Amino acid sequence: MNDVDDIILSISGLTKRYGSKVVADVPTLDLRSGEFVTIVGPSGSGKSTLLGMLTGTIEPTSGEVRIRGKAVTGLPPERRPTAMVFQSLALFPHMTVGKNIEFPLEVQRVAKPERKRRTLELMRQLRLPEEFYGKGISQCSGGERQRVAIARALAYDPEILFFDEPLSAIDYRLRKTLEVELMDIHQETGKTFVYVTHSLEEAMIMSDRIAIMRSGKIVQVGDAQTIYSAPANKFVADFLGEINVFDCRISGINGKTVQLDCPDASCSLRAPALPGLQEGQPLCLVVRPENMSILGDADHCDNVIEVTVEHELMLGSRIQYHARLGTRKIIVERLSEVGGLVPAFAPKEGDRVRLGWNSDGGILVAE
Amino acid sequence: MAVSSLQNDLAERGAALLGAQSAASPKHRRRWRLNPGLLLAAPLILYLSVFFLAPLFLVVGLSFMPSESTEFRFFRDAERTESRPTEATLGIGMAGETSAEEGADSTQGSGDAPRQLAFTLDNYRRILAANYDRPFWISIKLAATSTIILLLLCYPVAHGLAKTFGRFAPILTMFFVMPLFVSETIRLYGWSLFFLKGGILNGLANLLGVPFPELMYTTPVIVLGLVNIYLPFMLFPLVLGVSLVDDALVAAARDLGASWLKAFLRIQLPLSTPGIVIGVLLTFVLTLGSMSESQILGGQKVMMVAHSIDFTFSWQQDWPLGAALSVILIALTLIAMLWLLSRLDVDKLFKRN
Repeated sequence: MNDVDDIILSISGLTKRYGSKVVADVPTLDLRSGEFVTIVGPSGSGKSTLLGMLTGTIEPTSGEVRIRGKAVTGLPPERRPTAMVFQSLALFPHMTVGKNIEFPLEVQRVAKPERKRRTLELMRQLRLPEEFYGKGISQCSGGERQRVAIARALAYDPEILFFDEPLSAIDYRLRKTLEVELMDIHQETGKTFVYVTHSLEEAMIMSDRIAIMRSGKIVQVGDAQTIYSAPANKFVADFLGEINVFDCRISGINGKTVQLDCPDASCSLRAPALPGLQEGQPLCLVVRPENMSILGDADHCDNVIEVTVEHELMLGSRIQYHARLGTRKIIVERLSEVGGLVPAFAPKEGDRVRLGWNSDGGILVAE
Repeated sequence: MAVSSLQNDLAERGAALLGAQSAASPKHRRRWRLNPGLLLAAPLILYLSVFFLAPLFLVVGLSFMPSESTEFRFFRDAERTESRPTEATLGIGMAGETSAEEGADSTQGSGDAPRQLAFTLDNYRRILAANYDRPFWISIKLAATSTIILLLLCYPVAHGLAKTFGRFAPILTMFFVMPLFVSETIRLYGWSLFFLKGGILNGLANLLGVPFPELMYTTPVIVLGLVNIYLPFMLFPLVLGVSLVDDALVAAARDLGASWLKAFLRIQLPLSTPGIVIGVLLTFVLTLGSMSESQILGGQKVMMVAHSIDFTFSWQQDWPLGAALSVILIALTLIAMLWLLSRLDVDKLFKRN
């Protein structure tokens, strides 16, 4: 693999400070050509600042951004080979769909017939019917507008396409459709997509790789599977949403499993060992709701806790229980139907139940 | 049995009919209730029709009266050679009298129409024949010049106030509003003290021994006065117009490779046209009908049309001529307004349906 040629964007030592406050600090990040990378983080995590430094609207305090090996750090947005799809899509309301898409070509003084030819080609590629060429922006639906915005950005022929949360203000159902559509467009165009969002769910659905940011730093980079199965720390685990996190301390290591002291659970818990663990080290044990099960009286597991069921949430295919263990909320799930049959064992709100999981169902993460 | 069931049936139907009626009646009543918006606007509508529209109609009517008449009549006064003293007054029993007269006409023979409509186009002819059209051209020239200067002067400021000045914008806005609290006449006399021979500017130049041309009573000084007085009327619509433009649109244009100028010309300027049109309309119409600027700063040398109307009514005592001049001014204003407003189709601008 010619890795070096394949790298389209590389960041080195990029920081942004406002006074003494470090808003973004990214020592290194490389994006491969044709990748769909999502930068995800809660508000104030510095993801928008990082995006601004990549598109050229924000001047970094130090560090460098290279696109295909060429430094673009000091260049304004209009002189970078990148295009952005704005949160509001920023379609020009006084121009038709066709004129919107043609805008970057008009700026580049491309001849009129050529402009129209390329616009129609892009519209075909994005499955926008040809009669939309003369339509007004307000006559387009949400999905069509997104496609117009992407077509316009593609007309600029950018090396990288940036997306600044274009789906965040759209209702759930349409968002799901547009997510899939965006993945298709990525596939078809083969362009490098850099997507910024606060929704990890959106990131996991669409991207090849995810960079999770927290207070200006990237805390984990990896594909959705890696982040889901091996979150780098408690923050990432928490960010994954409905998940159980136990604060604990290593009380013993024997071979492949470690013994954990957990103040919330009455007994000691067991988890698979990681290299380089030390006795007495504070850690977090992450257990996903679907890895826990509600135990019958005769059932046995490596780890067992006793909880009080507080809420029962019907999620369709699954039923989720919110239970209490001391001061901690525990989430456990079971399938609502198995082979068309409702499982006989269904706890009620207020019941005391035993929950169990085997040691390999838990993941140890740094605090 | 059959009869009784029929009776029952009829009774039921009757009840149903009554029920239907009583159900329908509130709907019927609602139709007569006044629209609350209309009700709230009614006093103003009444006020405007009595004190704005009615005088306006009188002025229009007066402009068709023979020269030197001081009232508006439908019919021409009876000539002194004919003895018809009771007729020819305004209005009463018009239809009946007219038909009676037609009869009289046929007996007396043609050529000597006893009662004619008083309307004449003489005033308009006089305006075209004599030099009365000059004030119009002066007014249009001055109004257009000051409107253009104001537009060029105010757009950058409006952009600053709407987009870049941030928390200083309200303070600056206050500065721009403040002149409105001082009477126009006082401000204009302030300017004349400044420009007068031996005034501040001239006096200062004399003290320093620099030869200085006298600016007072020249057209540039009138334009300066107009620009000064009507600045807020251009500035604030422009601020509104510029603030309507979404910053992301300009940023998107820049991101797609457009230069600053290109983004301005293709995105911000067209999207801020509602503000521009309203600002241009306000300043043009107001400067077109302005008088004190040319009177105070222009002396009697430059006569704008409002001044000329004032002169015709008061000094010349020729009300019909003054009314005709007014009608032309109103028509010009109306044409300018309709033309500009026809350019401003917000729905079309934003391609809304």
